[in-house]
Amino acid sequence: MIKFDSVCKYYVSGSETVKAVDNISFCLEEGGYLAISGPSGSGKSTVLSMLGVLNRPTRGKVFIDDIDVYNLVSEQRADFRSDYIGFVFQAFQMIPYLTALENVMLPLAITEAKNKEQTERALEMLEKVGLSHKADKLPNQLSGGEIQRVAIARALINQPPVLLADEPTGNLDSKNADSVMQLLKELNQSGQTVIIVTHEKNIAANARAHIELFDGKIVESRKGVLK
Amino acid sequence: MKLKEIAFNNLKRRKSKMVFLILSIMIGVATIITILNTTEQAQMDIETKLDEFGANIMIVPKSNTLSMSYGGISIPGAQYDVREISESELKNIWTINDNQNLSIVSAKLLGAVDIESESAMMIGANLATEIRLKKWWQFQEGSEIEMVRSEEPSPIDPTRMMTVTAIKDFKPTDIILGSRVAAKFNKNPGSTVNLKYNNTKGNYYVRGVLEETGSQDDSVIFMDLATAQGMLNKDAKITLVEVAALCAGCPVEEMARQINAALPNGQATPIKQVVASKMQTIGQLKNFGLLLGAIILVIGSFIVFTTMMGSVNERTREIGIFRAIGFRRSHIMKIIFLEAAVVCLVAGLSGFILGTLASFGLSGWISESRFTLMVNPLYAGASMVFAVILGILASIYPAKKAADIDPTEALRHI
Repeated sequence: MIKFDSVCKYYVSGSETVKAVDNISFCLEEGGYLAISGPSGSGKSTVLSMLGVLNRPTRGKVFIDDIDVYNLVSEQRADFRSDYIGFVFQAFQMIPYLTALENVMLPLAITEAKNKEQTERALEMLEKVGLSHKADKLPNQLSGGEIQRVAIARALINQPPVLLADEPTGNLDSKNADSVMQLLKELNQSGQTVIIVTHEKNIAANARAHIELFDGKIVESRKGVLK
Repeated sequence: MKLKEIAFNNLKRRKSKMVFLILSIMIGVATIITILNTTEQAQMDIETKLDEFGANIMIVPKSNTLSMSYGGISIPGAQYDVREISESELKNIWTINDNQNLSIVSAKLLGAVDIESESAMMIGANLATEIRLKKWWQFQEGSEIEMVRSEEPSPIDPTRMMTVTAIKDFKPTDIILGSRVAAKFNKNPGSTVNLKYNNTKGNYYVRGVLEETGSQDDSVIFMDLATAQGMLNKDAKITLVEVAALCAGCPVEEMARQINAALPNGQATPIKQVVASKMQTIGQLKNFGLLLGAIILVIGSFIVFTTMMGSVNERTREIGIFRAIGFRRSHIMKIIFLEAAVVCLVAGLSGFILGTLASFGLSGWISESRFTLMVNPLYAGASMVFAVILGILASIYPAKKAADIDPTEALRHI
């Protein structure tokens, strides 16, 4: 279970304090599919980064599997990210000098897994996202949709309980966007917890749970989001 | 995939930058190796030349001198109990512990003879050895001095052969004249000279006349040691021995002490001036090399630092991704250090090779005698280890900066 408990995130800009996230609380059961939507500047990416154990809240607590993640020290948080969180970024951030296979293997570079095991697991993940035939391609040799699929494969290789996706279709055409969303849906149906940030209403509507933010506050929540 | 593969792949991607970095370190290492090799070989060259300069240990018969002074005024010492060195004792010189540093041992008998009713200094010596000892000797035209070499059993260990140098067809009645004595008595190579000592007299053939040396040799008549001993009635006796020791900063004073122990009738004295000037020259060369090396190292470190800082700044997004997917700060530092270490290892090795070749190529400018291609495994290892340590030290701050990148900030760029 993921629990946001009275979480605030404030930034100081000059003499002004910006409330990026203002006292948000919600829960999401394991295996849930949550879409976080809202206009630009509403705080949705900040919420996602706090869920990703990257951004310490100014106030409040974030629990993942009953672990108060910001109570962990820096290196423990890194380990937690490695074990619990899979990230898919909006700009499908690949490491440009690594092939698709190597990009997928990247999270395993800091594990004890042997090279052979890493390769097998990465190929398996690429197979899952339908790109095993492009394993040796560099990112600049792949289309936007393909890169995003590689990013999803990379996010899942450590079999993390939680998959976070920040505007995963933001840079894709509608066909590729549909394909990626279908993949995320299938993953969720197989038990994967998925949380996506989107500003597209139809994507938010298709999620099993949804919260909408405005000025750092939840203005609407529905379907499976527990307070 | 392991961290090292990430580091290698990044290096491959940034080929031109890495080549630049390698070049900058390589040139630094190459310069140091060139200086070290050149300094070392120049030292050897200078030492050889200094050794060629002549004797650096003088052995005279032992005597007890009574030193007298009164009111700060020295009165010449009274010599008593003057002993003589027997020629048979000379082989003891070759038994000293540092005998491997002995190059030339030239025994001499000094005396005054009459030449055409005037006195002149005569030195009896092995003239071939004397010519080897005094490399600066030049002979006037017409002189018949041709050196020949042969292998003979060593007098110390007859089972071992040693190279013996001699003047071709040299006869006991052949002599060499100093330039001044030759001019004074109007003698040339091929002339005959009548020499007299007490009631002994004889005609001697002038095999060679020295060009002016500016030393007392110009006024000396040189003849074969055995002939001189016969003439002066001093069979198997010698007056002094000049010793040239091949020294790479060898213990000349210690060698003199060893010779004193081996020659009870001799008093060996090191000629400190030669040793001191030699050591000073070596010291200056080393200091110059070290100073230049230190300057180059500082520049090299700065280049590594700036290049690695630039690399970290360019890779903020990439490092953000690493951190987001669970890389620890230590993992990021390890990647940066690995990259610096690999680059510096390659630079160290290539710098060593370049420096070795450069010192060989430059040797012709530094010395008349071309140096040998000196591949010093110690320098090879030290170049690589030193370059890697340098690279890692210069990368500490960039690596720390990379590790401190806030993933949230980095992801904000994404």
